[in-house]
Amino acid sequence: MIKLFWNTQNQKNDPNNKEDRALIWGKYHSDYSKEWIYEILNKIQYEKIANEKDIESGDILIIVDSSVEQKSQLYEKLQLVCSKMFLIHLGDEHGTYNLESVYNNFSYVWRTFCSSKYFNNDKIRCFGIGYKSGIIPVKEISKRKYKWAFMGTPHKSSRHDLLFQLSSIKPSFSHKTKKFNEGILNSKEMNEILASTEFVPCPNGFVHPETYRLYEALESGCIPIVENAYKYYDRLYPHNPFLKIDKWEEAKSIILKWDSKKIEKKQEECKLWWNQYKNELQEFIKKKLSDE
Amino acid sequence: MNDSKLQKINILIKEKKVDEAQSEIARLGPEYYKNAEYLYLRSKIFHSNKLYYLAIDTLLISLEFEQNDKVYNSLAEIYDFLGNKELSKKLLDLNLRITTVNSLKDELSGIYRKESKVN
Repeated sequence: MIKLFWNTQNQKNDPNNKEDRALIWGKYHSDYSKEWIYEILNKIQYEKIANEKDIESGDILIIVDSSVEQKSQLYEKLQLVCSKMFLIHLGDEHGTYNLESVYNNFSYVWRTFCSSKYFNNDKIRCFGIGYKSGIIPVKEISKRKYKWAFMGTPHKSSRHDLLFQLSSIKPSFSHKTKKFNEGILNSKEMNEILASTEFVPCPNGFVHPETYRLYEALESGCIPIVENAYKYYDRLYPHNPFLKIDKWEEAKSIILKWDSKKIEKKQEECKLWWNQYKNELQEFIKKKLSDE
Repeated sequence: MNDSKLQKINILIKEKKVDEAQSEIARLGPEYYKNAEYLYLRSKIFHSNKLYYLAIDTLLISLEFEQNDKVYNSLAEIYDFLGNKELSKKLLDLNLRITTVNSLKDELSGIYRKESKVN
């Protein structure tokens, strides 16, 4: 039997450490990544388990986990019981750990936050961090109220310039927050805004190009505009239809000049690509689970 | 510039051997991370690779460790290229540049500040 064990929220808790990053992020993934992960696993049959004690001899195990560098002992123990193990590794934005020995416990690994060492690897496939739970897919492409929308923290110069360049383009929606994950819109508000928006600028994340807003834009039928730094998205998703810029002034000109026909065509292109990507990823996971 | 490793990187950048400069600078360890000249050179490499925002962020951090005309000039040059002429002008004004940079950093919660906690 295939069992799914979501383990990100289980981290060594240090009560003296208020900034226990592993625990904070582990809970964050548990709160916000489940809908995305369940979607990419929806072509396989599995049983969700809440505890490692529910694993029986011969089970095929999918572990969804974060801070995996601290969990080798657990994986080594589970390997003795399971017939095969697969890892879905969330987090690891910095990519600083050498995870070879950790990954060796698994038949195959899917991970987010790709970097050069993982782009072409027989045992590892990178996938996007996905949308946050609560985002509802929007099928309608129809005329939208806002030309662009940005919700997030202008923590570095890219986002500052984005707001400088685009602020004169109306109607638009922007919601600036002072700190990551604080004062954010709820998912109902997010859904309403995204479903009413044509372009979503997706500046890079704090330390890595990956950002949830790219996938939220795709789920909502918006056109994502990403930064072309290191050609990250072209490496991760060859032939993707996203608009790519080196500076936000380029986005300003696109948003101002594109007519409704061109916008609608790009929205359809993004929607089609996104559905194909998700379908291909789901099939790939299904095949890996049966092949390995 | 007294450090021979940084001097070498500076020459490589001037000779437009950016990939070599990148590979040399990547070898330098954490002892350089708060070195204003190191940060300035990193920003030059970012700039050459069209990573304008990384270049700006790095220059802003560099100013936390040393005030230097060339850093302000680089910031002004990049902002001019990005289309923010007003900010660029302020960064070239000797009377305005410090307050301009501080006010910019106040808006950017993710830029390292020596005397305040990073969010």
